[in-house]
Amino acid sequence: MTIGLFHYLALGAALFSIGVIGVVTRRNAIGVLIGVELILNAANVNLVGFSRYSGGLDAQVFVIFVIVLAAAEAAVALAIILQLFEKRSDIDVDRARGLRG
Amino acid sequence: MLAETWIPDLSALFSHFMAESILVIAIPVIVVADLLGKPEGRDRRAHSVALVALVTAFLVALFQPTGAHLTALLRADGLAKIFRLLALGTGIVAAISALRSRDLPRAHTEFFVLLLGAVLGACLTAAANDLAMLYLSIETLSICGYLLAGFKKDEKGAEAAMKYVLFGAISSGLMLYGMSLLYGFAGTAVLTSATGPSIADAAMRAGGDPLFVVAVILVFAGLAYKVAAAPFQFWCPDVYEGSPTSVAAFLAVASKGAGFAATLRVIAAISGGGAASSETIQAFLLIAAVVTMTVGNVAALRQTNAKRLLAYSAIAHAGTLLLGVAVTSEAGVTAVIFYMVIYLFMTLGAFYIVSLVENETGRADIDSFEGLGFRAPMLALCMGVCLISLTGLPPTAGFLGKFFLFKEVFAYAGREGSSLFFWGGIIGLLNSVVALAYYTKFLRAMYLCDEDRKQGTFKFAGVDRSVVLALTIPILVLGILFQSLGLIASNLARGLF
Repeated sequence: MTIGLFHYLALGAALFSIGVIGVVTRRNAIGVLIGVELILNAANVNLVGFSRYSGGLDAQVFVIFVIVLAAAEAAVALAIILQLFEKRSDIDVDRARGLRG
Repeated sequence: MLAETWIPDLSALFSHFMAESILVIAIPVIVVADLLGKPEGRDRRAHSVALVALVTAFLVALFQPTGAHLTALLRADGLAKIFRLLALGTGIVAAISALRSRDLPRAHTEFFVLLLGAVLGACLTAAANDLAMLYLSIETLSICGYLLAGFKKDEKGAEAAMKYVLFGAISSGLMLYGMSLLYGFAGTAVLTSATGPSIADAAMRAGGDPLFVVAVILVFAGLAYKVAAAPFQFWCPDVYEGSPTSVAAFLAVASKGAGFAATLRVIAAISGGGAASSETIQAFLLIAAVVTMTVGNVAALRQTNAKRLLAYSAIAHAGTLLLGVAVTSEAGVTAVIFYMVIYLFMTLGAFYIVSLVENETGRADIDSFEGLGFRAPMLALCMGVCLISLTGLPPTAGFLGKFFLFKEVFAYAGREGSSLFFWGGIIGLLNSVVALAYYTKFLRAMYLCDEDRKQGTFKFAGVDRSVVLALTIPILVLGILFQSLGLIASNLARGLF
């Protein structure tokens, strides 16, 4: 069996679905963040696949930007979650109810 | 050889993006000035550098040339120009408001670095013509925004920042997945191009391919989060309430504006040539618009906190603006730009006055506005002008903004015989009536209250007075000189479709 574009897209779609399920079902803020990382990597797999089989090199440059931005976003998100943990000793998304109405 | 072809390009690029370059230079200057100078007066130093950079960038951006297609990545057209000015203008007001507000802790240096970063992201988002550039600039805006939202380091601030960052990360993930699919359709990340392949061509080729529609809708999911449109509006009231008021104002105007600029650019690319999928996408946008404004207006009715109320009002206005975007024509874009300019003045004005009242009373509840009409008549009058304009009543500019926007919606409905657009317009008009109910809460609190709340005077500084006047007088002036603003808006919208 040769690996073709379809396999990359299938892997991307599978990662995307797992990520979305993780985001929807996880109640822990860090769990949600892990789901988001899976979604971002699903897009990366798609981009690299398209770059290899139909597009140009610009998709690979795009992927490098995405990796850098994902790292920056994760750093900021973890810092914010840590700050909430210091205030409340709890990072359950459902129990973050100080602000509502 | 390479140098010869590159140097003229770079200098042209610099002259078209001088405002952004000023911001890029100012960020390290603030950091260095903070490290070198005496520890006391750090805040003031950072504040002055940031304010000087923002004002210079604003003045430069006013006279920056438009129209050139310099690179495939960025466009320096009218759309980029107007949304860049909106972002810089909001940045100036947010910077003034931040130093004067009592709800921010010390260490402002970081605050102003992040604010300049967010403004830079907003400016570039409005100019981006490539999916990678769009993603990069939206993330620059967002990541700075997450940190700004959590700047008030109390429990509410931390919770607001967490909600903002998680919602933001999820929606930008969905958007990126949609972008990767769009890249697959086009083989390139460029939105529109006169010479090479582009996503606009791919939209023509794709026809009504459902996967293409799904990809576009995923991209709009990320942008809907930025403009706070349904079903991605949940974060908005919580974040506005928990974050510093200056940041809430920035998110309500600059961040939303950048989201709309990007939405306009994407929709122009994929429906420019009358692609088969554009009707489905228009219907989707229209439904999102109607749901957004209804959700915003209905939820605003039972709010008692001024910032939460303004957040729901910002959601409702996002719905109105989306209605104009859904028209997808040059006239529709003109109406959206016109509305967005007026929205800047009235929303920033309202937020600035809320932050003044919050400084004075320590709370942002509507009760704290009681008797303001007697304690600070001028401030209350300005708030009244902003609120009447937000409702969309004459003689303010807000009325004309709504009028032109709905005129385009009904004109489109008549031209295309679309009953969907007709009913969308009707629901939009009914929503304006609902809006009257909650904006009058402020007016009632300010003018009709117990005698004892009318005593005393409310002191505020000359700077605050000039900012408030600078934001409210244009609302009245533009209500009269609307023709010139309409002309400018239609010039800026030219060539997008």
